[in-house]
Amino acid sequence: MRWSTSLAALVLGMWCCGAAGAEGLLGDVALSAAILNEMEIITARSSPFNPGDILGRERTLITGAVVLSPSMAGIQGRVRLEAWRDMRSDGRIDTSAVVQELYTTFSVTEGVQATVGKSFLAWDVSYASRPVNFFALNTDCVDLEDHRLRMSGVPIAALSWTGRAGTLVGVVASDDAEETGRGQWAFRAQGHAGAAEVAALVRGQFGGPIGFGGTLTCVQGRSLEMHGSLFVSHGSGRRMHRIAAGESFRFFGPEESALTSPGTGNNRWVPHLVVGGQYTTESLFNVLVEYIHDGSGLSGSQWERLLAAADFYSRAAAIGSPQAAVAGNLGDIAASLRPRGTRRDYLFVRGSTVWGEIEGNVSALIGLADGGVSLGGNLSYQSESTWDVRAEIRRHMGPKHSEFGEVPERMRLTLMLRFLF
Amino acid sequence: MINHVITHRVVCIFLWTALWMFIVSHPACRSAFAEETATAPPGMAALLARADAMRVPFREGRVHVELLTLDGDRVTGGSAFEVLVSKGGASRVEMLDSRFRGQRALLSDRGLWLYVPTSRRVIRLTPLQRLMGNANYGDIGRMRWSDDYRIVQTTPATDRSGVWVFCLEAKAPTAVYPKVLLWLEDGAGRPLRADFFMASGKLLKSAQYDPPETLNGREVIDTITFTGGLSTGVRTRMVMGAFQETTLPEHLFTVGGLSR
Repeated sequence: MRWSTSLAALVLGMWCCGAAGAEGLLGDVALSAAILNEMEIITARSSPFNPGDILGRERTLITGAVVLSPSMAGIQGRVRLEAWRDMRSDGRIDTSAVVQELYTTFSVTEGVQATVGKSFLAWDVSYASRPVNFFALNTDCVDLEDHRLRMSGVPIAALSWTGRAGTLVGVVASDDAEETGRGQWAFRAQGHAGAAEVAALVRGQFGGPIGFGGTLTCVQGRSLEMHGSLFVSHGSGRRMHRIAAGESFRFFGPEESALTSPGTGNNRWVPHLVVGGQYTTESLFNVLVEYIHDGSGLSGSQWERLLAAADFYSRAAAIGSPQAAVAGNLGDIAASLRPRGTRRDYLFVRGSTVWGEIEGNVSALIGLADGGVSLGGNLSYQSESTWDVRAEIRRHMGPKHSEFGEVPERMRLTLMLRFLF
Repeated sequence: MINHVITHRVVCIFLWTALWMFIVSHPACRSAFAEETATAPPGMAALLARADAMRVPFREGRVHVELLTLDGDRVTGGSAFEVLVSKGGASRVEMLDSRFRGQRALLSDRGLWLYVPTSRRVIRLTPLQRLMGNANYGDIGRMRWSDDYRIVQTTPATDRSGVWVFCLEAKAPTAVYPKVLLWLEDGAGRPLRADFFMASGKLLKSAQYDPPETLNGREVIDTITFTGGLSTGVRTRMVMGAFQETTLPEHLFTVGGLSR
């Protein structure tokens, strides 16, 4: 692992240096960079999923990252070199080098363009949840601009035509986000109908489920924007804990994954829908409201089974089961929880505004099934020069046995300083 | 059971709120409260077109724009843009600064879209949201009043002879400002000053236009100074240059073409 990381860093460093060195010699060469310093303080709660913080979720992370975006000879790239240290552990510094993007785009004929390499596409128009986000990794649903520059691409080949009427795109890509190893394909047509911008798409996994969907945005008057994003698939590739899916209560070891994709084997149509709108006042206060329904999320009974599974492991620990096995199985449950919603129905509300160079917002993701809330706040300052600073806070709360009342992470505070070159 | 009832109520409240927001924002509803508009006197439309020609000396092409933030006479910050203007009236603004490099905005009579390169998202914005960013793409991108506004009234200026005050009203809700008061010199149509208003009638910002420079035999205004806006006490100077009349591919001015 260390070898591959070092090799990747070396090759990409040489390429970036080549790009920087060639600047001025060739016309089509550019290099931009971002330096990010980040501190994350995470507090955990003792819950059925994490009794006594057995998962070790309490952390104080200091992260430094350099993101290089070279462009040379028609090839674009983005590389993230990162080092981080958990201040609460033994002080070890971990490092990673990730090629987030490496692709080339070329024009086939007037209006027709091909893209090959590792890249990402964003087709969604919604904010808090992304039903048609098939071609990107590490998408931050809160931060639309991806200030942390964590988004990463997937191996992709795309051919698109753009004309006055709209855009047609055909894509073949790996499905790294769902990790089925099958690969995926999609076709999307986008255009406008009156004031509305509409897109229809069909997407499938090779040898797996096929789905269809679309997006819509429209603006009414000067203040109101409305949007909707829908994807309905024949089965779902979403991974779920086996016990939540209905299997018997037991321990899972290294030979059997605790997570499964139960939806791929059945004939159920699974909808993922987001509808919402945002209203901006003349004093530039913006309110965004979205209703989210994700049919692949956990139903009430599945959630109850997940809680019961956590209770089963905790009771097993109390009667002498090995601590490592209990922690591993509770870790599997925690891995099946998604930060932006494990269940099916949510309401997202966000208020944001600007004061000169300062932007701020507060948001709430409300679990409609159980009344739990994930509260968020964000404040950023952009200097006139090339740096900005950002503070984020997220707090999960809710009644006993509700999703946000029981997730292992109670609160996360993030401070980030960023320099752009 | 209780959860289902709560869910049902929250969804109903959400749908009713969305319906109410749709109704109050609909142009038909708004026009019911709007004042009656008058037609422009003969010759005044031509005067406005001459003023437009002084701001953009071509029908299709590109121009380099710098926005300088001034505190007194001191430049405290700046940003640079490349603006592409299509013959159909649409504009494409490309940000050149390191902070926003790769970001693009498309402004057409159908609305405004912003392309964010770091997430590859194309975001549709309302006219009021245009004012929330650091740069107001409306000031940079939509440079022809004739495309976005109709003349409601023209009156002679009381404080200066040979100057007309144009009262302009947005043709469509996609225009950045609902109402503009514009001071134009009679004859040449040289713009002197403009006041930009919100729908409520609140003055948002004012612009002062420098005397025109001669460029390839045409008179062009290359410097505009804005006062007011979001940062009170701070002025923004918009300097245009490198005007280039050229034919541009049509797909650059489409939503799908924003990522190219």
